[in-house]
Amino acid sequence: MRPVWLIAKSVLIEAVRRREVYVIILLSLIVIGGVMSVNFFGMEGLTKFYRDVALEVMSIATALMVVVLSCRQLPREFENRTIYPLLAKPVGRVSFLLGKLLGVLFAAGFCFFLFMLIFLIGTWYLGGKIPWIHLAEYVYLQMLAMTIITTLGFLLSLIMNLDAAITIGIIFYLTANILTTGISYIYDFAGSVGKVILIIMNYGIPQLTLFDFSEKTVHAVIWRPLGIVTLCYLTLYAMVYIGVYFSLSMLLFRRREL
Amino acid sequence: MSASFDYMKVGRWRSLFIVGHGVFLEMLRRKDFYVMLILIGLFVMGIFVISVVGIDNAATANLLLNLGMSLAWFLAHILTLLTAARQIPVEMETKTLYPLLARPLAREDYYLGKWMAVTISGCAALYLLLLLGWLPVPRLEFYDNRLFLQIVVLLTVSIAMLTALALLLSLIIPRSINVVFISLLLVFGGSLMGFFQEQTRRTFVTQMLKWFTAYIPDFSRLNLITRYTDGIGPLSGMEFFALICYGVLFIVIALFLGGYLFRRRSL
Amino acid sequence: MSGVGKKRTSLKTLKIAIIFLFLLSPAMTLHLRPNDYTGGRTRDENDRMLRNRSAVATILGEIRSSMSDIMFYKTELYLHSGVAYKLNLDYEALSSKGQVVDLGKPTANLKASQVSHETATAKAPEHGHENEPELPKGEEEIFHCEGADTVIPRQINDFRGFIGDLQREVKPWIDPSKPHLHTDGTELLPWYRLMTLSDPHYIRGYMIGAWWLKRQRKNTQLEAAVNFLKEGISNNPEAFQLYLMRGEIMHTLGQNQEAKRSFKEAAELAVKQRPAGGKISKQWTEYNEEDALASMRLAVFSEREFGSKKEALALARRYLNVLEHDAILENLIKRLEQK
Repeated sequence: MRPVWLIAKSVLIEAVRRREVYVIILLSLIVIGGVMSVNFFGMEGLTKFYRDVALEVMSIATALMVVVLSCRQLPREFENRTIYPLLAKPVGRVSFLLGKLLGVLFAAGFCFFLFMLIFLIGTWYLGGKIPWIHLAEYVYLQMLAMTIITTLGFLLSLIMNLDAAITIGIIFYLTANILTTGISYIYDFAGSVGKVILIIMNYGIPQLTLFDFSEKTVHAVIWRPLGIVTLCYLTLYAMVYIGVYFSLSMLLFRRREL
Repeated sequence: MSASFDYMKVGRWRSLFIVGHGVFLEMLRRKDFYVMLILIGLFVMGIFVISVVGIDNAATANLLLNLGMSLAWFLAHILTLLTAARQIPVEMETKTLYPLLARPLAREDYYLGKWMAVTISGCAALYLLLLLGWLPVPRLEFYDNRLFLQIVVLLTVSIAMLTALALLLSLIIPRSINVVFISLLLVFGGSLMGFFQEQTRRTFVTQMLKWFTAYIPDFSRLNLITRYTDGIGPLSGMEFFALICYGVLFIVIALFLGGYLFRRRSL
Repeated sequence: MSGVGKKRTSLKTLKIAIIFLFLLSPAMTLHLRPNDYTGGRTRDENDRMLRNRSAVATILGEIRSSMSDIMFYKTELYLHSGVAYKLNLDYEALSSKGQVVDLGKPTANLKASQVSHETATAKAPEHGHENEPELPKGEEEIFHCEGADTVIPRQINDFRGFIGDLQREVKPWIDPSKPHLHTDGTELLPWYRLMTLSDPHYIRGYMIGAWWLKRQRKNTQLEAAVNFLKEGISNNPEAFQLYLMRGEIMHTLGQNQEAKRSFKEAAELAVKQRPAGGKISKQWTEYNEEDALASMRLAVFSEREFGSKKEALALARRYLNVLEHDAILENLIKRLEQK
């Protein structure tokens, strides 16, 4: 396990050192700060709007960072030829990939941690109540989504070039909601072949919108948090896709000539 | 004397062509067309979904037209930005710049060649995506074709302006910050500056600030897609010409500044 | 050599000229606003309803090309506590009267006071499923029984199996066969503020925002509403509804002379814009006609109460001439003539 942690640590340090993370966080801070600074008719306690905007900005910013970071990991190692000394040591390819996965997740966690800090300070400043359980569930589900995106990013970067992988990753993330709604809506209009395709898409493509708990967090005063059973189902659902994408990445990585 | 002057002119165009050719070859090598194929696939999927679901009324058709054209605008600009932002920094990192400049290739020609090539490829992407966003949607209401032609011209100027700005900033700031900054300027710049300019009171300081914000390029001025889908008429000749001059002025300034910085840069 | 020297000089001159032009360019560019126009299909309320209720818009969810359309979507979500219904609200009623009314098939329209005490105070009726919303005590709610359709389908209509079940758990969702709730729209105010900032010609945004502010019934918010409407009027000087609303709020604040002036301005604009006979069309809806009538009546009433009765009588006669028939104005004229 030590090599895994070492690789993960190096990915995290590299991510933290790169200016992009801070630029993204700074820009998100500017957007969130801008939202807080606009005077909304002298009314206080208008926290839903702040929560809505802040959570959306945070998840999009983190997702974009994760897509770019995960898609870049393997191609960069190949380009810079830094992969060879690593694999020359007794570091297996599985450990290498696992290390990369953990590293990207740590970076996502680091990003989320900074965002949460900003979010909590903002909520305290606006005098709103913090829905702790909703927020914790939101972060947990987002991290599951980021894990799926990371493994998908690895897979895409092994199949196609870097720019194409990043493009597909970003499009996939941004159109998650459209995909889910579209599949359920179009089903009634589709013919028998179309219905089969939609069923395959429904189970074959991970529905990232299931990991977006932001709406209930925004309207937390009305909605109860998720139960443990639901969280377990969601975790299991995520693990299936993570397993599939990771295994496929491993397969392609093993067959890749170095 | 004049023969050597003519030779220099021909030589200059040849240099620009060589640099531009290099950019296209690089794009082919990197398989940048994969990204275009993915984006085209996205549009095709959208068209397919619409054909299944159907278009209820003219208002829905209008929504789709606006979305399709706006998406084409956004994607073409982002692709151009990503291409422009990496040109010089990557060549400097991989040190492929030096053999080029060791030849009798002036730095200004190199810089101008890069701008031309990226602008042309950006425009090609724009036209293709715009066609995909515009053609399949049924025209159930009146849309002015003259305004559409004006849109095509102004968006071409917009792509050229974006390229010039991205190339200039690539000499000053890191690539990722360049991309993020210009993306935000592209999407939010117009609304933010418009909001600021509307809100400023009539004091000397705020009026001066308002004046200076006009030096920040506003891409939304060259984007008339919503005006087109709103069924508003074309711009008057004067206004159209003024907008073209607006874009050209920014392009020229950015190219001058960029050429100057690149010339003075120690490589 | 001299040729090269001349070329250099002319190039230098050209550069200086371009820089000079650039420095002076704001004089032109600050007036270049090709996207600053009134009207357009984006702002047409009928078109807005049609496109936002279409299948395509339902699939797109929050993604729209204009801020006002995003607002349309957000209003639905916020008033329904995040539950995504296939778009349902009557925006004309919301902007004209501040009423939250669903379109569709009304079977019952209950206010909290009409429902039994137990159900009105805390929880939604037939509360059983763990996914049902829980309202805090004292939160105003209005129950509607139209059976509005949700974007996320019910389990019996959903082919997606456990994925559909998970979505109904994670996302705000109420079974569409059960009564649904309208919560307080105050939290929408920031969105309306943003919307009017991004599109100053979106009149409805000013109207709805002002209604929500008026509902707060506090002087700070009423004054904020007046300033908000003032901004709306400066961007849309022909929008008589904004003058009407400003008059109402001024009256609530006790500024009766200002209110009287506002009502009169609203009435004059309404008279100018009203088609002959008040013919209802796409451009002049029933709500426009109601607002126009209200403007004229209130102009006369406020003139009678806070101005001159002679002037009120003249106004009433003039407006009645325009309307041809209005029982309220006829009655008022009779009373004024008697005095």
